[in-house]
Amino acid sequence: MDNARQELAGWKKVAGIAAVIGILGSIAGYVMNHEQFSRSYIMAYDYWLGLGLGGLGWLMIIHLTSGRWGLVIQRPMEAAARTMPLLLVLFIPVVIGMHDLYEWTHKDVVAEDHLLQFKQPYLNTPGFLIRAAIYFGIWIVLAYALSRLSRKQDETGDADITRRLRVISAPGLVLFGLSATFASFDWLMSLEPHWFSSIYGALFMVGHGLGALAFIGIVTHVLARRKPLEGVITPQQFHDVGNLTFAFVILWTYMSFGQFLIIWSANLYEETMWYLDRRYGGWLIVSIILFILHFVVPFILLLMRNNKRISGRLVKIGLLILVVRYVDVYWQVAPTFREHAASLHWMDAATFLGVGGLWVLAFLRQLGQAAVLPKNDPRHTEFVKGGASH
Amino acid sequence: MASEPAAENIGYREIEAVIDPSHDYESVTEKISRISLTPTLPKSLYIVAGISLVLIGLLFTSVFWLVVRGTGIWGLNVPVAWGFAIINFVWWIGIGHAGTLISAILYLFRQEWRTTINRFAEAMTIFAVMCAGLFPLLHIGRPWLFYWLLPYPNVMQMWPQFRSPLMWDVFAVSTYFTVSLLFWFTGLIPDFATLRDRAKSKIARIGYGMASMGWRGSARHWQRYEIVYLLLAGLSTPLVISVHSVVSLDFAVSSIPGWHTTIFPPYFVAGAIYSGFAMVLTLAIPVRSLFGLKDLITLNHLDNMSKVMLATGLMVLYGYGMEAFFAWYSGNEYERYMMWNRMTGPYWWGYWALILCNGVIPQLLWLKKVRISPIPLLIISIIINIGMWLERFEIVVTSLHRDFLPSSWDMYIPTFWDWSIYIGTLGFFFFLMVLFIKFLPIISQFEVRELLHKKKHGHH
Repeated sequence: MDNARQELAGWKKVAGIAAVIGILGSIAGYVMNHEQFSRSYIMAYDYWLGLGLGGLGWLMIIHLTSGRWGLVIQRPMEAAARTMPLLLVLFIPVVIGMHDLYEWTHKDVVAEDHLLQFKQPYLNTPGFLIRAAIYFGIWIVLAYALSRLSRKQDETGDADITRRLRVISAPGLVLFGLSATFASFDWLMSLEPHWFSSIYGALFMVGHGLGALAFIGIVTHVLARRKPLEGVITPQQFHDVGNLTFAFVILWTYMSFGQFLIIWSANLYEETMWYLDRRYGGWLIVSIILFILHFVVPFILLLMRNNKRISGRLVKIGLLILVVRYVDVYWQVAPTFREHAASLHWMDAATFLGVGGLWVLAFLRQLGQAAVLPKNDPRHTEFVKGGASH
Repeated sequence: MASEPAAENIGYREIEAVIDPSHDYESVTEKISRISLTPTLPKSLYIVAGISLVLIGLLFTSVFWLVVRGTGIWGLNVPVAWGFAIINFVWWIGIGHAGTLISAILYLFRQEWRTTINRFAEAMTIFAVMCAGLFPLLHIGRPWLFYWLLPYPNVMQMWPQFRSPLMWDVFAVSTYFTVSLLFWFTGLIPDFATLRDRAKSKIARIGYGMASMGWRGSARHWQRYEIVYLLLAGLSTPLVISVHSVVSLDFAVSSIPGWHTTIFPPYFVAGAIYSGFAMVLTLAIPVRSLFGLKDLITLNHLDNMSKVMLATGLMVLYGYGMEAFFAWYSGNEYERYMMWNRMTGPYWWGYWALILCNGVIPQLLWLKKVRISPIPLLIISIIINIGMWLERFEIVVTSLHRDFLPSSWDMYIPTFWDWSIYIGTLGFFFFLMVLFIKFLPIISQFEVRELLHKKKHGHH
């Protein structure tokens, strides 16, 4: 373990404690009320899945664009992507809880619902499971293929690997986009099986891409305090990461508001019902909080140059984004089951800690397996050796 | 620096750099100014200008006839009340987007390769927006009352409908045109000064001198200039997204199947950039060979632009996929019928031709060989331009021509006047491009000199 990662040792303890408390709480919750457990669990799962998926997506974008900002966050992104096998295991409770989550798994409901009968060729249990297997297959293969190649380059210094990383990433990103889109339809949009929105998949990817960027920004800030990253990462790299965060805050808002405006204007009940659920029973306040904290506040803060260049400040904005990402997940999922009143349940916290603790432990373990900074990448040799000359 | 053979392996030296390193400041300046300062043009451009002039004549004739007789001379009917006018408007305005993306967003992203193509692309933007703006003006039927679109206090006590995206279009497009023009002109000022100083004829000296607005190239000028340019780039950036998003809302806020879907704004923006880059390539490939600019607009540029086209093309394809999936998944029978009709109805050929042009053929761009071969690339970019036009045709016509009530179904058949105005704007566009090539520096000279400086002396 090099110096940089010692800074993260404290995280391990916290994550371990959170995992123990969370898992115990989740087991107790499942025994007491499995319906409530599943409905809390899907939110926790969606949130942490987002960090892993976002990591994978960014990793491929980094290989394709080969910017300097990408070099310093590449290894943390790889570590996030390599949590995919854990996320596959953590998907099991979703499968067990399918009946509590998805109305379309209820034979009696479907028998009386014309629309659900119509959608059965897509919304059915075997299809759901087969598709999930395909998604995880794609994600795990991509994450491991890319990170293994990059680690191999650390050892062998084979310059051709840089080209091969690009060759995998370009079609990889296409597969990723399709699989993440349909995963969001299966696991989240079908919670309300009558409702649909064609931008849902894109919005899912952008939201989680933002969360992953904020998380990795924080990790990088911590790593940058010591060798080997100390002195290699300059304010310019944080500035670039900050600008990307800014762009994704705007992109998320653009897509969310676009979806709202289009549905509001046409005013068709088959679509507006989703927003109506988010308007009454206290949900309006959550919606307004989401708008202010997911857009207005980070937008204003990230407009300012120093907030992006001074990494300590960027970390605080990142923390805000990580918190408000949960608000977004909660706002997307919870109104389906709590349409009468916005409320929190203790199992929301228990499942969040359980899944999150395990995920962070896995992330730290993966981060510890490879050098914090990729070596031998011909595009960056000058930069890494020369340190902060720019 | 990595050792050369390693760089060779990963493909960075396989093709030329963004600029031929044998150039110096004088040689690039000379090379670019010579195009504007030579009294004659290559023969082929006279032919283009001649044909374009004939088409402009056709355009004026058609507009005259349209004003005399009204929009009834078009193939519009109920239910297809939006025909060629909207299709061409969206097509032209989409083409403009590449210019703004190249000049503003790529500038902010520090993409140096943009330097030799931005001037060119910005000119294309402005001319394309001029063509685009013509269509809504003509479509309102009484173009001389266009100012009714603007909110101004009047004795009729009438205000525009601010809740309509068509109203937002008025602001979006006029802002877009104004900002693009300013950005373009600001970029031209130092180059006008160069031309002023190099011109031999008195008229040229006076003309370029007036346009250069007293530019003397002092250090203070340059320092302020750089800041202004950065600010204008920042101000133009939102326009890349906003203009075509508003255009997409013209369709999406309605409840018409085929128009009303939430993916429309980003899908339209991606399509706009896609078609814009296709048009930049369509123009740049002939020009670089005509004026021997292959050392400035290099294969590297073609490669990069092809990659942008491939990426945005895939996004557009994702949009088609989502449209088709949700037509089914919505379970709404009108949605389903619309998509079925689009694929198998009377306009089926349009849909499948568009999939071929926009979705299938551009997949050739995955191959590096294709991305750096000018002729195949030129053909592909023309195909994409056709495909993007077909896309708008399909969106506008097939969504409308068979609506909710079978008794009101009808076919839309464009008339001679529909075609003549469309082809006329093509002539208008190409004529302006020829004028631009003749009189203005088609590559930004001072930015190329700056790029050379960076390449030779390292970054600061």
